[in-house]
Amino acid sequence: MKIGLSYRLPLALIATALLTILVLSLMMAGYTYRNLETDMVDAGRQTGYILMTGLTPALKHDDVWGAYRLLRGPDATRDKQDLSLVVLDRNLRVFASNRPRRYPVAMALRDTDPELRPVAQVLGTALPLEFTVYRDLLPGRVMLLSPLVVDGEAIGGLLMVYPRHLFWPRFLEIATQGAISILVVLIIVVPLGWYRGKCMVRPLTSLSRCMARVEHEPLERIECDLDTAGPDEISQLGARFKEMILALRQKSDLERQFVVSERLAAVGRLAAGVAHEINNPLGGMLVAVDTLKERGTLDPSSQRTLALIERGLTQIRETVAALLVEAGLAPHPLTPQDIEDMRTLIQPQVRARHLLVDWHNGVEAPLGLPSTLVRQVIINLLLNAVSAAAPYGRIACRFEPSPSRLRMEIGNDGAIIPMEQLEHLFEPYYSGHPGGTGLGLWVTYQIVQQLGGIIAVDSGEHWTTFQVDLPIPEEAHAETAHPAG
Amino acid sequence: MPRLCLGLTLLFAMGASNGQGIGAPLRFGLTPVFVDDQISFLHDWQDYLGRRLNRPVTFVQRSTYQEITDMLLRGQLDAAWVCGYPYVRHRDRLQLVAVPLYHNRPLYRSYLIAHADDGSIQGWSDLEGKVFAYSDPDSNSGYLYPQYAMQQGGIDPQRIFRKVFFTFAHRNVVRAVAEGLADAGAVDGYVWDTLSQTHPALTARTRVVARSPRFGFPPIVARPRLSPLETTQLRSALLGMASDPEGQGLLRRLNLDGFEGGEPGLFDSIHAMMAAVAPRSP
Repeated sequence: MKIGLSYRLPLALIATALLTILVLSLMMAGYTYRNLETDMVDAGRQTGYILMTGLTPALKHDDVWGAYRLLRGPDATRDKQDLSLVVLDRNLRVFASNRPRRYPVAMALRDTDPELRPVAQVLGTALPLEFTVYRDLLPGRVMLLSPLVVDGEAIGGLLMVYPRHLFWPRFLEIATQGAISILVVLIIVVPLGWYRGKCMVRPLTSLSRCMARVEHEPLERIECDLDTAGPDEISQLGARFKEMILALRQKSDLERQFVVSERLAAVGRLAAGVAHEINNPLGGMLVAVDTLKERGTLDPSSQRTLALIERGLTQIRETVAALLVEAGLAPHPLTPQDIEDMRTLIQPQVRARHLLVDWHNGVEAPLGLPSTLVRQVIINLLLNAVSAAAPYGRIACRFEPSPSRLRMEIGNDGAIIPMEQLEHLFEPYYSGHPGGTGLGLWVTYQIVQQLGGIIAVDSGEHWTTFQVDLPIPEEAHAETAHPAG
Repeated sequence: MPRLCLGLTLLFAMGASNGQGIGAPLRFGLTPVFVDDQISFLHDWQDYLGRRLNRPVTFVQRSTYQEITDMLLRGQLDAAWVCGYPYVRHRDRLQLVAVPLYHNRPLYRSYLIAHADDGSIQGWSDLEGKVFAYSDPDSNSGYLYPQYAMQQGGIDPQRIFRKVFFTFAHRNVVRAVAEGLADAGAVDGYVWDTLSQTHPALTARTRVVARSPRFGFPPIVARPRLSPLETTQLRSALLGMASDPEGQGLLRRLNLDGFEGGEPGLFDSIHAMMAAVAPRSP
């Protein structure tokens, strides 16, 4: 049976606690047991001493009844404890005992209880002169002997035979109390151990669950709440995992971008090829139409037809020209005014849609970038933003130059661009909204590509930003640095 | 001078009167000839006698008959309830005050008892090698009669037993035998009978093996020279118990029927046994 760590660790914690408690309890029980035995021997020694004080005159005066009365106690309480008290005379005969039927008066100890025979053997013919404990002489019984010594000679003695179980009730009482205490502790410790164990495993469990999602879900959707702040190993593991997810996501993004770029490049090459093939005959046809018009020999009907053909051909040329984005004449470097012009250009639409424009133009000096192309990029993106923004909405434009690059951000508060649209956003004739030519972004993309820059879209729920990052060529950079040259 | 002498004599007489005459407590010795360990009964009886005598009565208990007898003879006690045996030994000096009536007669017996489970003892001749319990060396039923009975049966009480001991009370003889400390014992028949009513569980563990002939019941005696008036007062107080309800109640608790004046001759049989068992050195 396989049990997860989330159960094994709490169980292990509880088991450890239980084991500790068990071992401690057993140690305490053993200690208590030994203590009780020692206590019993000590109590026996004292009882013997006190009893002997009273028994001495009885022994000296041959007062069997007096001795018996002392041994019996007032109400035979000692009898209930299964404790045997036997007073022996110097000849090891029973003088009196609290159980006279078991230890009859005036009978030799060895002839009384057969179980006491080993005792009689150990004692031999004389009593010891000192208090003696016989622990292992009789099975299940402890025996104490208090001698009555007069002038260095034992004239009698008190034999106390305790059953070992005499202190069992007390021991059980202590053990029961201990067990109850342990139970109370367990009631507290077990849930605590379980909870603590669960807490310790939780980060590991969520990490594991999060890892399991990598296989089945897109990386973008994997958002796990992992504790990565802690100093422990699990937190570090969580941090590494987050880094790994991030790296994977970047890699996946790069791959996707690469695929898109490849596709766009292929489409671009195809379009350029087609445009070139069309452009050559188209030029000839337009020259021919022009020649025909200049001759002036045509009837009005033919002239109308010719005009129709010319308009069609012109439209073809314009379309093809749009597809074939090429740098025209060498333009002047991009000036701050070029960017401001763009703002002016979109004013009518902005007003029509009642938009708020957040404009930040950080360009203060001419930049080594072809103004015509950059202007086209800006106007395309601005027009897109204006038409995408919500009525009474907002657009934001930032132009931030650095010594080597120009960074532009044009955002609007329009609706989010769906994922499937984003994939094809820069392809020709792929228009996100009715009325668009479908070429705006394609042209923009081509221009940015030609300039060696990067264009990216970041579309969220309430804000969509187009970011363009254009490198400023080295020589242009040098030129702008020395405008006088 | 003669007047002074008279005064001194008067003073002495008054002092004597204060010490031992009417008004001073009557010191009354008790021995275990009866069940003497019922504290509340003793208290009630002491009160009763005090009211009857119109003077306080103090009960005095000692652990042996001997001590009470000695105190009585020395005049430290005014009267005492003693056994017939010490009475006959000092008959010439002690005054007989009253004798209790048991079953309406001033007589009682000595019982030989054994443990209820021990069937081997059927009489005085079955005691060889046994442990025997006497009550008191000055007791008739608990010592003198057993000695006499064994002597009559040709048994030497000094040799026949494995062990003998005294318990100094009849009740303790019953306990010693019941609990197996002694195999057999000699006990006052009146005490055993009384215990069989008040403590049947105790006597049930013993068995009466033999009963002696009847002897004079342990009497109430007065010290030498107790005034005839005081002796008479005490006697009439005791004899009067049977005729008033409170006294009857006390007698019931004593398991007795009353008291009579008694005659010294009642104890002649004890005297005869004493002579037969003698010489006995006290």
